[in-house]
Amino acid sequence: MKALVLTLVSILIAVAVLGPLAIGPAGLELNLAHDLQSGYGENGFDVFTWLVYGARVSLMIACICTVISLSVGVIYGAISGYVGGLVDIILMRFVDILLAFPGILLALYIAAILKPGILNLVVALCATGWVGYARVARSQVLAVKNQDYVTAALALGASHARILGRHILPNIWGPLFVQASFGVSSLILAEASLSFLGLGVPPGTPSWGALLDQGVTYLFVAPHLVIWPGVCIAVAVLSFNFLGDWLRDVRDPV
Amino acid sequence: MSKLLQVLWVMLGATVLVTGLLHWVPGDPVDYILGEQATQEARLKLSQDLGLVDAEGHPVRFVGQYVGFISKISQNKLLSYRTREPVMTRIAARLPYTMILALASILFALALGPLLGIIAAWRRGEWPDYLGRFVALLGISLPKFFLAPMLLLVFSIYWPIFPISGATDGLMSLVLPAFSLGFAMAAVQMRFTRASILEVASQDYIRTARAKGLSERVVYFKHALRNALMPVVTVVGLELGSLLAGAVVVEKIFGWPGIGLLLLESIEQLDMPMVQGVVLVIAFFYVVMNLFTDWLYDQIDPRVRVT
Amino acid sequence: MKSGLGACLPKLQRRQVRFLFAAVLLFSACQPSKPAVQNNTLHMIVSVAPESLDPRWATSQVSQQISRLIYAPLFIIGDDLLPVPYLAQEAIQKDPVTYQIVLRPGLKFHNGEPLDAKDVVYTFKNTGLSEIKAPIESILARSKYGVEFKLKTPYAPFLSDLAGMGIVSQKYETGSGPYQFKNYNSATETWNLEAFANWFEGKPEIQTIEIRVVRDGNARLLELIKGKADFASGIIKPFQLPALKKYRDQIRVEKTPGLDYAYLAMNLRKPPLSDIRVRQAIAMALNIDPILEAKFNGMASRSTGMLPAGHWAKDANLEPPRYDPERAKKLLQQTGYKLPLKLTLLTGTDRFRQSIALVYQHQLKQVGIHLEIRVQDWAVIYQNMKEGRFDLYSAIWTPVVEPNLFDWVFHSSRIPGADKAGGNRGAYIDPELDKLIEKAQITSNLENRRVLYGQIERRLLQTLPYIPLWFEDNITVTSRDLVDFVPTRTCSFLPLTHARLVRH
Repeated sequence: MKALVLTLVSILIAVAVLGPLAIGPAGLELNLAHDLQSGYGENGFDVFTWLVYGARVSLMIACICTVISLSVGVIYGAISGYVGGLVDIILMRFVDILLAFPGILLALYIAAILKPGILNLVVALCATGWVGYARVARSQVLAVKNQDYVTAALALGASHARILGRHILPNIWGPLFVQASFGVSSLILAEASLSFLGLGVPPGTPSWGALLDQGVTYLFVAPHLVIWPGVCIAVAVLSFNFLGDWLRDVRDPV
Repeated sequence: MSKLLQVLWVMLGATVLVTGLLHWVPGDPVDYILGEQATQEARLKLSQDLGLVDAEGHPVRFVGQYVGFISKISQNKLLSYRTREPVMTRIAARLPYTMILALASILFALALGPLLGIIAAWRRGEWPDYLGRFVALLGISLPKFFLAPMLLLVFSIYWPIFPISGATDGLMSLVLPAFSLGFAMAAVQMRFTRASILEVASQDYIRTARAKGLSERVVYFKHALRNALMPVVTVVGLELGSLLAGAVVVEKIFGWPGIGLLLLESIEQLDMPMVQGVVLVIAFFYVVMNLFTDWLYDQIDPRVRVT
Repeated sequence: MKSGLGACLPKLQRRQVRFLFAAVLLFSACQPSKPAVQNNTLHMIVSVAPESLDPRWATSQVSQQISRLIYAPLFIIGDDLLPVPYLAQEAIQKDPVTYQIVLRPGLKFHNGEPLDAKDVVYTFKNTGLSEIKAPIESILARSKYGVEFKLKTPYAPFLSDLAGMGIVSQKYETGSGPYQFKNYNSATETWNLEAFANWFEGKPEIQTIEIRVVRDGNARLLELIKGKADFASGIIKPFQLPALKKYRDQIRVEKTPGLDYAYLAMNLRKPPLSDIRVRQAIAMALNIDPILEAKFNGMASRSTGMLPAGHWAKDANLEPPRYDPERAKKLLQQTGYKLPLKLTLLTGTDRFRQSIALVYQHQLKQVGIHLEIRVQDWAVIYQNMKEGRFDLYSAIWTPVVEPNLFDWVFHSSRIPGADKAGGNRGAYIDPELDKLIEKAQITSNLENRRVLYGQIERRLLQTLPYIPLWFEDNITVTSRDLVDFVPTRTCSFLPLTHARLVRH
């Protein structure tokens, strides 16, 4: 399990980071002579190159969004859990509102009212992505805030900020990391979905989801445009899910 | 009762959010819809349509905008920016398609998932178990927008059995969309059922039943199964969100004329009132369905009842 | 009768719908109700629903194609793109502004009523179409079969304009075409038309035409492959044709040189596109021939202007803008604009068109123009171009038959505004061209008109308000069961009246 997970994830990261450097962007240039030929996509770009660059776009967006969502979520959730009382109730009622929108619906709505572009895509995904982290962080804070070392620190006159930063946060990272690796996989999926729907990356940007969209249009004449990006997305999603499973098992062996 | 209050609060918040995002998002929605070179008259007219300015052209504060939006949508006077027909009328016409699709997917998942889970648990460690788990893994990892075109390639193009698009061929049109949408839920159902049967099977009362000499089959169907099917309801609740959001993708691929497709069409046409209407209707259904599954869960398992 | 009838004729007034209802009910009552012979039904697929079948409100191409089957016009456009008498027997031009149209005797509407001069008068007095641009002063029924049109000013393209309008019965709003409306099923989006026994050329061989809307491109291919559709005109794209190769003994693909003019329009209201050098640079930076080869599999031909090759008014000696990226670069540098020059292109949501826009983007980048592609729904683009909110857009004029279209598109009086309609969306103002257009309008000698239109096209190539791109071939895909169907350049459905179905 461990070997498989680490291999898959490192291959993905290697492809995303080094792949574009290794093969160069020549295959992304349009070459009308190859339009929709086997191995080539619309306007004759090279599908392999596109997939490699797509890995970079996909992982980059997923990682950036995870970092932002995680930071926002942890701060929000930790404050809510630590302060408690009315503040907690108000903050959590707001989270309830965001949870009223199923799946990527809210991200889709935000992407629709912003212009298509990578930055706006990140905004749309982060706007909804932090909620899960906030909930986990809050429950973790609730679990540790009444433990002896915290009350001791408080008795010694440590400030709230210091307690949160030095005593509580270091002790709640575990579950958040597990959550984050699942989060990367769901962000890969969300980015691909939005790009597939034409609400993600701008036209011409290499993205797995956007390639699948082409594949559906040219289903009869170029089915390879569906198969390969689909396999890439499935493998990437699966890898980070495995990573999450493995991290959870490591932390909490049954 | 408190649940109902919560639903009211959440829907209130959702409407504020949906109208507010259009208001607070950087950039003027009017610029976005009309482009930067719009004439002053066209801008004014659209701003009035969207409730951003009043009849005299003075900007309306957000509270005023919000009240205007709610009063229009509740009287079915919120009009599509493109067709000028009431948004809710249009949504009501398309909603049944989405409901049929969602219902068919859930039924499909409920028929297939638990069955596979039971078989896998029963033949634990044997080939049906491995096969079932492999299928479940596929179900969880294959995105709907990959699964659906693959199904089309195989069952519409290579073997032309099912129609490729539209909802005009009755049940035949429903098969592939429902399968694409329900497969992930079926996979999760399978995993949960399998896990909970194995957990129940290791518990004392089952061991006792076995020790009393009851046959393996009786033990399974009488004791283990009854307790293990509880998660089915949980899973429907858990997966409902991705099902509703996935419906947008599936409806696009199969040209299924539900509200998901309506949402995408309206986004393309920059028909903001329609987009807002659809988003709110989907959110409303999601919240209500969640309430329903919570209630159902309480009915089945008195232990988790919360007052 | 399905309740969807009202829906298929949305723009009719209530009263008219009621009449139509009554009329259709009357037919269904009169006809013995025997099941349609399956073998003699032509299954036609279209990509969008016709918004109206009434010739006075049918504006989209598919509406007009179907409408002509039900409401026959006085003239039709022949393959030489000149008007040919249809319901009319002949047209006599008495003086520059007076036309006497003589109808064929004995014509009948679908309900059995005779068609005569008063119906023609009624039709043209009640038209809501912008197609009829002729400056009509008065229409009079001179005799049972004679109609006199008086124009305000001489207007040479008058008879072609008459081809744009089917004749409607004054009393019952029915038509007199080779097919009559039978029913509409809103659930399946299907229209059924039935052969008209009293059609003046004799009852058509094909008894029923079933028209079904299939919106998805892949689904259209599948319908043809499965044999569920016999006829698809202009909705199968060149890139899809390889998928039909395997089925060659079952499916026939025919192409005729098309009349649909693809162009890039530019907004001349403001810099930098108001600068002729920038427009010339764009024209020189675009390499069109490889696009035609790769994206259309050669099923399109380069154009030098709005008039298609072989058109009677076409000057065959014109040359399209030459591909010369080096000169384009130099020209742009001469203008002094800061490079890269940022421009926005509006294009529809159709994937295929978007991919072509990406080719433009790539080619323009080579000369220092950054083209942003903005994908919009066609309704949005249409509104934007009417109100002049664009830099460039790519679009198609369908079909270009009557050269007087130049007036609508390029005359300075045709700049659309709040109070008036017009096709001059880029706000092109050229007094010299205005004069040429006006002169061509009142010149009735065909040879003189040809010379004038040649000058107009030459002028437009110099001033470049549009960049001419290409004419796409009409691709008609039919089942091999359909015999004797001869596709026309105008993509008319009327040749179906002479075709037969031989089911294998």
